[in-house]
Amino acid sequence: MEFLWGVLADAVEVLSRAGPELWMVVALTLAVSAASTGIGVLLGVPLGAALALGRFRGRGVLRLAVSVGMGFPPVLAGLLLLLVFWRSGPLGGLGLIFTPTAMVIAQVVLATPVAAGVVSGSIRGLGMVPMEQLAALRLGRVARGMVAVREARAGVATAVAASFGRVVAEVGAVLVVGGNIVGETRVLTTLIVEESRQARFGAAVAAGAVLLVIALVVNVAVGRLGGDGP
Amino acid sequence: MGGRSWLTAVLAAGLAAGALGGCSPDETRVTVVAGTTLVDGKLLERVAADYEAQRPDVRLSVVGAPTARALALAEAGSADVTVTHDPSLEERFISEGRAELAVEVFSSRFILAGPRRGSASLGGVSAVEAFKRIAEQGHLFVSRADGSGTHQVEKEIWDRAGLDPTSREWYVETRQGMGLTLQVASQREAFVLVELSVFLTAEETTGLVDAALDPVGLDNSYRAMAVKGSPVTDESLAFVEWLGSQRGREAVRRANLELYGVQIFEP
Repeated sequence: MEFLWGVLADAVEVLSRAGPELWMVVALTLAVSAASTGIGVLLGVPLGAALALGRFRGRGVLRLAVSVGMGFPPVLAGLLLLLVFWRSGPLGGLGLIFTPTAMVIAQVVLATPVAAGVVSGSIRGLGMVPMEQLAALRLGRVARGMVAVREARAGVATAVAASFGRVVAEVGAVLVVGGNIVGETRVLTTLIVEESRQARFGAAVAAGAVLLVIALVVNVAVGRLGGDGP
Repeated sequence: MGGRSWLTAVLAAGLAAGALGGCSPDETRVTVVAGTTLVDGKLLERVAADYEAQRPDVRLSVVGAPTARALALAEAGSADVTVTHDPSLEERFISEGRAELAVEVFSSRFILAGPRRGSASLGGVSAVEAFKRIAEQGHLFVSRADGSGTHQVEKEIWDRAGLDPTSREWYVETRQGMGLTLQVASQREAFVLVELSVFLTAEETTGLVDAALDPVGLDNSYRAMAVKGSPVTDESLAFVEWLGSQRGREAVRRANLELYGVQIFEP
């Protein structure tokens, strides 16, 4: 127990002395997670609505892709993008490897299927009667989708929370494509990995506490916006 | 299968995996904390496997950490053996009476790696002069900046050049191991001080070249130490003695040949 108390005391001290270096990590964590959640939701919501309402060729394949995507191992996504963005790889010319942009792209890949899956599920969860009403409205495809998404707005809020939760807590993909470089691509999760590896447990726990607070605040806030919590 | 039997099956699988992964009771585990350069270059892994083949009762767990950290871990009782490359830190560790046994085991050398274009003009130049030119041109330079032996050597070269590159915009600090730092240098077409075996292992993917500096002052000597107060002192002593012995040296030479085709770590 003495050991654990010691770690905790270290963590408190690290937090009380936290300087610009930690805040930079926090800022980058928020920026990367918010950007990737935003893009992921913008792509995922229409995709989810189309999967729930649309009748089009390739829908089965898309549905499967979303299911696979929701459970896609982040570190594998990171590896695949590393190969694509490696200087001598197919998109190496863009110079994106080990940059925050590459981290956002990796997380969009992880967030989009989650947003699509949640939204699709909650639109289908509206049940038969609203669906029949929707059909009776004789609207165009896009308008029908927009009405459905509005009806399922609690699901959209859940999609935002789930996407943000996935990306903010994710370490494998951002570590591989970002490189965890100090002052450039280090985020809270990769900071925790590094501090634990170096046995600086107090600093690791301090970063973990900040990460937890961010995850909780965002989840509660989004739950409020969507009109209901879990 | 009902819910409960699934749970039982998962638990059983977990336990089986645990048993397979764990240490069998007649094996003694010795934790060897070594510089990340050495670990990333794979030499120690190969040599350790050789030792385990001769001593089936011992299992060596090789963990990479920058030298300063490795010695701190040893002080904290988390390492039984260290293999590090920062003479001044090691001498302090020894003078504080923390080493049961210290042996210089092998040495390789550092090189300056960089993009083909920038490297061409540095052939035969001293490290100090090369660093001065890099700073003058403001060419990107990637540093370990992690208290490793490699970082220590790099800092000494900057010192001798009378320069302080930290906080310059062309100076990138990764604060991480050699492998990742080399990757970052490769992707940014930057210069980096790197141990030769790590460079050669990754040469094809990095696209960087050896600037072929004058090698004076760039040697990289490793010292193995059995940490005093380790619960497995007998086994750690035996391993460190073996590393310095004739058989250990042969194992190092063999590992060199298998891994790199040439002798990089000279016993």
